[in-house]
Amino acid sequence: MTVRADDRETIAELRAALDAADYTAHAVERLLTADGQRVPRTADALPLQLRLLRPGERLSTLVALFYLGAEVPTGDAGSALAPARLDRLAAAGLLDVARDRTRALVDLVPTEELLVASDRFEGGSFAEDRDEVLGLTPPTRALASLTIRRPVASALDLGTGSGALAILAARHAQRVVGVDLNPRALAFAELNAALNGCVNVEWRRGDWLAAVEGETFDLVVCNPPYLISPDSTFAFRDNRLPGDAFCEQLVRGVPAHLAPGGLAHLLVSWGHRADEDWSAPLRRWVEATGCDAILLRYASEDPLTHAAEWNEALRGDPERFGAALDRWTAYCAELGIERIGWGAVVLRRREGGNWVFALTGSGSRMAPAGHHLERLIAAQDAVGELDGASVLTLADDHRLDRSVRLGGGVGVLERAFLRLDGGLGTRIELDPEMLEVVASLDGRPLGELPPGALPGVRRLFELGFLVRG
Amino acid sequence: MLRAVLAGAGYDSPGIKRALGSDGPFERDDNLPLYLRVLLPRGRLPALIRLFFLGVPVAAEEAAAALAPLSLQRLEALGLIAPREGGIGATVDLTPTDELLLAYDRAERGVEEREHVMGISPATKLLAYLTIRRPVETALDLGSGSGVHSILAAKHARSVVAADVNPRALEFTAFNALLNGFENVECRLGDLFEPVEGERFDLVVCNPPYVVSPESALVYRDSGVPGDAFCEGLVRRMPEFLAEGGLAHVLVSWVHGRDDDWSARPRAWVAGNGCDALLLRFRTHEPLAYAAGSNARLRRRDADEFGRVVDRWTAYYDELGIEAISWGAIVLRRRRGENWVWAHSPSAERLGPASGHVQRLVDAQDRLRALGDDRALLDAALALVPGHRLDQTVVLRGGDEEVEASLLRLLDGLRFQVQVDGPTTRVLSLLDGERTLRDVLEEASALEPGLTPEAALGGIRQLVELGFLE
Repeated sequence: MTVRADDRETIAELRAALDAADYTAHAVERLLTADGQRVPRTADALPLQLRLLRPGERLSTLVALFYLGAEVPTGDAGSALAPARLDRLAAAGLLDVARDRTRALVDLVPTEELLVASDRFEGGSFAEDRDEVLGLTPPTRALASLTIRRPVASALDLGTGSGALAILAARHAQRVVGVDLNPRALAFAELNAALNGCVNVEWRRGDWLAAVEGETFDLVVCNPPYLISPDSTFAFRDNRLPGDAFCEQLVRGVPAHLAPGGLAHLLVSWGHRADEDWSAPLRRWVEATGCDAILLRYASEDPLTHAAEWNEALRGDPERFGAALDRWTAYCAELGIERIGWGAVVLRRREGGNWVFALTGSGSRMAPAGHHLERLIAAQDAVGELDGASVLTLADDHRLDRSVRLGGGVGVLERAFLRLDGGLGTRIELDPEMLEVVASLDGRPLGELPPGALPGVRRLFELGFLVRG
Repeated sequence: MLRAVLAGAGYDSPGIKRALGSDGPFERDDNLPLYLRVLLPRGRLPALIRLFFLGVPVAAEEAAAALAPLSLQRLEALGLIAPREGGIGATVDLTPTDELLLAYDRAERGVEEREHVMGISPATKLLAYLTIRRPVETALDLGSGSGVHSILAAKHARSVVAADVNPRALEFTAFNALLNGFENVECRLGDLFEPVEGERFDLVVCNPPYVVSPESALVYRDSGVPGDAFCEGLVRRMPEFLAEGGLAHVLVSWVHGRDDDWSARPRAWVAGNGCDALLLRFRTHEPLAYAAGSNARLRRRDADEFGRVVDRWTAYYDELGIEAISWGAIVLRRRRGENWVWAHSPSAERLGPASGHVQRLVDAQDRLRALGDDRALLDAALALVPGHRLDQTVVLRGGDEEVEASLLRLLDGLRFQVQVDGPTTRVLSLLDGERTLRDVLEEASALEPGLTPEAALGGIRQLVELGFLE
């Protein structure tokens, strides 16, 4: 089954019906709240979620259909979706309409920025190849948050899936190309473009970078199937190259498709030895690409933890779960992978001597961080030029968290951390001397600071806590 | 001997965490394949963990080597192990806590079985943390279950009576007392207060089947009495069994209307009962969320049955007019004279060992009631307790700082948190346990123009009540 986006009138009517019922992220969340807390969207939550709905009420009917995947009375579906007609929604591959009962064939998930249609993903079978199209998964949202959003002429979303990242890019790029190998993905992407009123994306079927042979872009986003696994079950998750070879190929291949000054953002996973720095393999990948690179690590784990996490769906079945753990860890052992990193590589094409800056993200991966990334890039561009006359000041979005013991007329400072409000959530502990230095940065040039403070100040500049004043 | 064998092999809480490479909580059903792969294949400790912590059979020779010099025959005679496919299997879980080693029913035996003896639940921990620990003559653990509260009380009471209606529970209590080296726990079979009629105790601890539900299937969970009548009866009778000055600690649930003051009902239960009372509310649930939360295990196993149970429970609440269900603890102290009641809502998530803190809450009420008027506080010399921290978030701007958030926290016990403003922070920093509050407020007013003693007094009183100031 594939969705179709050619009946634009029906899609527009569907969107109008959803809007009229206030089918928004906020309203859906409010509806699915018990004891003041949002009920998480897990498989076993369904019986509870259904009982939070108000039968026959319009928003409840739409949530049952498109958010929970439950059947509703066909009469309720008809009135909730009007003016869109059920038979035409069925013809577009969105509904399965029987005389009494109707159910949705897709999920429709509203976020603050988009309404995203995707397959209902109900977990893993390892038997056959699967071409499910996922919506705004946490990694996709992390990449969307990380992307530097500035007006550009051209953008590329490589492995577009539901098309969400291409549609977001289309808001600040004149022209976007969305590429996917999976025809079902492109059908969803077209549907999502229509649902979100997006007209400047060209959807192109093709094999990764081969689809854009000879073309360059100002912006590239790519959430590839980066998982290091012995399986090749899910098109959205697994790739057919061993270990991290697929990610390496992408990172090495993307620079040829970047215009000068162009930026690429790729989610990647990589394996490394326990005795080497996490960034070592990524540094090799970006060497001699003609790009500056920010290497951002979100997390790293050992192969057994990795295997357990990605086979979560099998936990109810100890035998299959155990077998998967063995298969995955044996695979890592064979490839010499002792640790598995997950994160993002940001590349900027620039002539001249290129720099590489590596950091570990510590905050929420969902907070908008493009502005922070731009600051990190500006800092790397400038850090070599800092001298005694340079003036650095605290960035406006800094926060100092401190812990104090009170009594006897004084407060004794126990610990102090500097962090950024939002962005990558970077946080660093300051000792009392450094705290004093930071508090004294009110316009005086670096030359007036105690000489011992300079390496620490430079580090704070590189992490985006200090900006040129 | 078993305890010595286990201790010799390093079978304790840190040892198990190290061997399984996790700080817990341990999900032994779901993560079993993972834990088996993290454990070293050979050795005494891994064999004991497989047997008594993970509930996996171990080859007979391996089990014998791990338990030596105890013989397998003796342990089998005790009913702790039995032959199983693949060697020897344990019939109970043996779980080390920070202080104790406890045996209880294996979860796989079926928590759905009527006489199941529960292991350590979050509620067990909560009650253990809240109990005021001071040397006493006599203690009563009402509904002893696996005996954890009896054994903790046995450390500071000369004699403990453990009462339970479930004979299997008493077997576990007796076994666990011996396993942990306590001989001052006496087990008595019977329903609620029945085995201790006419007796009085210095300390009572009680983790009753407080769940408000239409069920009566599970001894450890269901009382079989409508609504919260079971908890009410328990609390109302409790003073009869307390000696003068004696303390009772009971976990309870109660029901109320959506917009009612949560404390109204427990206040009615303790009114005129000859005891001072601390009423602590940890959570209030909507009926649907309460029904779902109480049946969380079923939810994962059988969605349809879960749905039916939730519908039955919510229909029951509807019928009884129950709009909200609260859960908390009541601490009673029997005392002649005019009694006080103090109600507060701490967070159950943040709770740590709180004996000292709960004692401080009782002392603070005694003291404030004795003072009468708040103004009498002005003559007191107060100081912050050592285990406090002020956590602030500030923005630095051109030599000045702007305080965005300022939270005073207690690091131990009920871990209360209170927002404090600048003037109050100033007052707190000046208190030193020697100068009177009056002096301190005078000095602070000079430094903080917005500060008036009258306004500050209410805040200071609250900090005394919560145990921040002594």
